[in-house]
Amino acid sequence: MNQQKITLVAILLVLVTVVVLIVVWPGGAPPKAKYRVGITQFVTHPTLDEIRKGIESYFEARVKSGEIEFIFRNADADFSAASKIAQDFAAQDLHLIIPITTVSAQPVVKHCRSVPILFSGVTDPVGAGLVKSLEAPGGNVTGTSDLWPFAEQFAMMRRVVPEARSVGYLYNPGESQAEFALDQVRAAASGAGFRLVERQVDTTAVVRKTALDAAIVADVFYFGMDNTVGQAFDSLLKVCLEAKRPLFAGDATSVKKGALMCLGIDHTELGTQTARMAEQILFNGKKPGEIAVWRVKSGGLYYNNNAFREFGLELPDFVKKEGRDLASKSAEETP
Amino acid sequence: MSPSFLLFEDAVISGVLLGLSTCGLVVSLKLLNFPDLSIDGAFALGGAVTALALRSGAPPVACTLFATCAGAVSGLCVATLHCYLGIGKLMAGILMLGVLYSAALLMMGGANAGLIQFPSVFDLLEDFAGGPCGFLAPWGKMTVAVFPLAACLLILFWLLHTRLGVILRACGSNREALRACGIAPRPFEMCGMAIAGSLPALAGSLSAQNRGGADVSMGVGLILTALAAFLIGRALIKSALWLSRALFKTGNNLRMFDYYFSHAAAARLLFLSALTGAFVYQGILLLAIRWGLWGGGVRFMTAALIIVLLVVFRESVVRKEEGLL
Repeated sequence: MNQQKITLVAILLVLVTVVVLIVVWPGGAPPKAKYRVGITQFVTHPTLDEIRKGIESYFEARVKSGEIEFIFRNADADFSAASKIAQDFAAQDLHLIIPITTVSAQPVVKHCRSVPILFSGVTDPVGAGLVKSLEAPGGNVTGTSDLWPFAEQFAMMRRVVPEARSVGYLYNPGESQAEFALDQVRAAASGAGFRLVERQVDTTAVVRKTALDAAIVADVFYFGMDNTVGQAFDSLLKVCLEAKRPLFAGDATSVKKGALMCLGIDHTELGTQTARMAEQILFNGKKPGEIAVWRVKSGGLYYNNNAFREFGLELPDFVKKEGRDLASKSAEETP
Repeated sequence: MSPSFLLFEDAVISGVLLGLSTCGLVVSLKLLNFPDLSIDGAFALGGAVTALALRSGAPPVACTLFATCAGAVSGLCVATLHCYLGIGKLMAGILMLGVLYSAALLMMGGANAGLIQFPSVFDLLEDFAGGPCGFLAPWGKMTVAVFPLAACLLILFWLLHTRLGVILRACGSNREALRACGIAPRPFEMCGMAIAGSLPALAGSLSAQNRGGADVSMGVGLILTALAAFLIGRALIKSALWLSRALFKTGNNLRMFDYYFSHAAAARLLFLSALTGAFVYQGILLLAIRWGLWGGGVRFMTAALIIVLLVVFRESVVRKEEGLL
């Protein structure tokens, strides 16, 4: 009995020591920098990390000289944590807050009314209620939007497959961005003179069937930003290869995996642009409300040479000249 | 190949996959009276093991066998949790779901593993194209798919007649009788769950090879689909039995269908129901997709269908104290 009590007390002591250490440790941090910038990210995700790295590498020299200090928080995909981080940032003495993704940006805009806010990686800033308009945001908020250049993407598809009439498009109506993306895709497809063959999927299990069904009428396929379809991307690609329907994508990752080409966003570039705007706010004294929300207009052109061969298509000259071949990269990354 | 033919081919292969999973469900739920919720996880595990093995350079057939064995191990784990660690049946399945999710993530090194550039069992008969059996070439994939299904069905049918099969059936229905005969039910329950786990894993392995990729979420909702398939099949077989009795005055006993524990023949009918239901379900799915009915409302429709089938084709002998369905 006594032994047990001693063990218990020992464990408690160790725990208390650990907690105290955790709390006290950052106390020895270097003195405050001139500019303190809070970055909050909703979840660890390759594209979001690229945005953050783009920002950080832009200011690398200034961080080293102690002029800027980044305070980074990750909500780890927890909605309530995202809100708590925003409140924590509001209580701190920050000069600028950069929330990455919509979910992180909303609580920051709500709680931090007196600090300049520069969101990044938000697809629909107006719809999310972050700014009133893209051109003149007003107030203390502006940022960069990662909305894809859909119209440009479909115009590019038109140049590669001039004779194609219809585009197959799969999406999960249960996803938060589905409706928004669908509207964009519809407008872009009709703008480029395609008939859109829309098909809904609810799980990855039916992607193959649904894609096959769409392939009966569709001449080419377009893969958008849908997560469910993205998880079953290999199914979609396999169907397209088997039925010889060229597959276009909206992001470079899919092109690495075997889609033909995309006019994609470079997320590092998005981060760099965000950093440029941060520079204007911090050092040039501009107010966020005066800076228009930046939108990607012409992304990098990426293509997959192997995919062109597998789909039996000839690589157009303009693609070869302007684009970057990602085919070799896929061999490195997927063993 | 034309998309229409590929769609048909996919429906047949999906029927086989769902049939295998449903047979696994029948073994656990009906034979052993063990509602195993980890069937979704076992399916994904099959895909993950296949991805791991294929990437390590194993031949596709070996990968499929590895995946099947992994499923058996997962079934054994569920049974161990219940039989030897005293955790409730439902809870054991739920816990195992979590374990299998992590295991699949770990094996694939991510949520998703592309397998398009790897060989698959479905390519085995591709050589037909040049040979004297060239006309078989387009049917190669379907032929390959039917093999494991036929093998599993034959093994199960044979098993039902062996001493092991009788004990397995008794495990689910009459454990007292087993104990009275001096047989401990638990080791046999373990054995039965291994069979029940291996079938969905085999299906998962084949599915990953057919779809060209494995995903941690590839099994989500499988238990509902398998249940729906089983109930559809049972309704059809029951109706057929009823019709044949009405038309030909044959003496088959409808009640026997639910007294599955006392007749190997009735247990066989359960597996046949699973199979019929799986193919009919995939047929319905095919039509739903063709007619553009697929979408957000499908889960509600599946649930509604299950409710109707459960009410209309109620088991004539309901074990009230543990009416699982």
